[in-house]
Amino acid sequence: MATTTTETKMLTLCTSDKQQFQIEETIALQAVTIRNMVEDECASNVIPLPNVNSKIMIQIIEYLKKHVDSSVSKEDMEKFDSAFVEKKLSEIFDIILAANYLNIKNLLDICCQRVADVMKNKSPEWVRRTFNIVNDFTAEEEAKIRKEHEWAFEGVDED
Amino acid sequence: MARNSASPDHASDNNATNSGSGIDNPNITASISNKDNTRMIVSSDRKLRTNRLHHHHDPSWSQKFLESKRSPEFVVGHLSLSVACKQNIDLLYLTRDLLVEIFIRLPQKEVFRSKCVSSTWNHIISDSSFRRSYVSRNNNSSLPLVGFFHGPVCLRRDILEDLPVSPPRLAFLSTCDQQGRAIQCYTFIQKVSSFVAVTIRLISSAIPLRTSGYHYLNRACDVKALAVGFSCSEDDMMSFKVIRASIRLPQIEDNKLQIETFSSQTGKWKTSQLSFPSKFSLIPYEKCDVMGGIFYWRAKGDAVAAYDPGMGKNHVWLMRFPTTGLNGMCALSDPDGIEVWVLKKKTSQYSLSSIIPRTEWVLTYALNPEDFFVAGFRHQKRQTGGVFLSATSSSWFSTTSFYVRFPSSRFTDCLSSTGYCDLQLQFRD
Repeated sequence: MATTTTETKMLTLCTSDKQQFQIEETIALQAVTIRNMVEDECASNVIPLPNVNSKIMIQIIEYLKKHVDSSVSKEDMEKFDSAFVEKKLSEIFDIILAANYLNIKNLLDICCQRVADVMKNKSPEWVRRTFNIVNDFTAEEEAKIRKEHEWAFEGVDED
Repeated sequence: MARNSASPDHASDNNATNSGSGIDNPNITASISNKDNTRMIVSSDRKLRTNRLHHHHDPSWSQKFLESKRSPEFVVGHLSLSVACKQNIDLLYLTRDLLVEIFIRLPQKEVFRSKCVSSTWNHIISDSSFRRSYVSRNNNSSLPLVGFFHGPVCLRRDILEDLPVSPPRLAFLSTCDQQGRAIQCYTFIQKVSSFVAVTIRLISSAIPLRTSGYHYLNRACDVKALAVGFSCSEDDMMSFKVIRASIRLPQIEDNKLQIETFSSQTGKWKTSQLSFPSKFSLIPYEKCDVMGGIFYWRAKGDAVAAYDPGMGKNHVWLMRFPTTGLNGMCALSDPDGIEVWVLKKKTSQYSLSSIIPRTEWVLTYALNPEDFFVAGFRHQKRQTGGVFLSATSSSWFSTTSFYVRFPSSRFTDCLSSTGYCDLQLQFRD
């Protein structure tokens, strides 16, 4: 994707809340979904992204901009990534959804890893509370699973 | 959490966009000042909108769009996650795929603990496709190989049809995976630490679990009758050995046994011949039990042929069971206990080919670990408390089903089994 022209090619992305973002094509093309649209020439003017809102889009652009920069060392990139995922879980979930939709694999990776890290040593009760999940097991069913996996409950953090 | 904490922000976003009856409002101003050349443009341009509508009507575009959209086909439980654009979508849920993406990044302990969170999570984690993803992602980690599982999926159809029409044989140490295919667990590792047990459970439904071992046997199925055994080294759980005995059909009694050994270290099969002190013939298609690194094959006439590959080709011997009519056996090393549940009939009508109606499981035998240590097979050289379970039957067509359960909860899944014969436990004294 070497552009010899001095003028950088720009793409306009339109988020769900109808905000438009104009960004360099090289940055935007890291998202496979966008790349497919552009390659199929079905996105000549504005690329609609109905599943992403502007708040999340801003964060995603921040991420993509950093990752398009080949001068950043691997170490710095890791630092950036770990700082990037230091967000509220609700935001991480939104980014996961957006990254999945836009098909940005690395971003999906680090966000899913972040959720997994948060779950480490946490009790099912904590996970339910944090993720807003309703326990739909009967007491017997839950006791049965717990008994079957007793070993997995060793070393769980106190709530 | 996700929804509640996120909602206020989103609501304000929506208010901002909706305040002037939506997108045509020219008063919205870009409020983001970026350090560089990313600009946020206020979308009040009718022309752009028309273009977009046009795109929507272009069939190729919409198809492409749908393909890339990856719509949430599988709505997962109550994990509700909001996205900001409420005018488009009420709520988006993390799809099953995305939950899998998170789960495969969890350590094993967390994975199993997460089964308790909700029935949906339990369902995802228990699914064999998840286990396959988990194993393949974590394959490079130090996941030790602790068991070898083998099922009809890796038997060619013509071989299956070649099976002698015999009364149903007992299948100790077998289970069903999510698709209902029987998986036979040929053996499992001697030392059951909690870590090892975890791995057993994880891989028990994940076939192929170790592509090398699985693949090899898959190709090796050209041999007509196989008696396969599997062992992994005690010091190095990553390396393993598979030994199969090739049985020529029709069988003749012989004191020679042709075996092929697969070693994970060399990645090759090696053929060798064992010479036993007297003549015998193995039962074809039977699994081989391994205890303490010693391979035991069932032979006709209630006999067992044993081979200790660790000690060389000459370490072979034959053993006889004290009872007649041995129909099945399984080998265990240091089990935590054994329970035998017998299916007691409530009706006299039975069918061998279908599930027996109106019956109930009754716990008939329960044995403590201490019993095994007394009953341990005397021939064991390297091992402390192995035991052979034998099931005897006066008639193949008798009408009792039973399964063996190992109360050590870590094994209940993979070791329940049913068979059709009267059961009597015999322990060598």
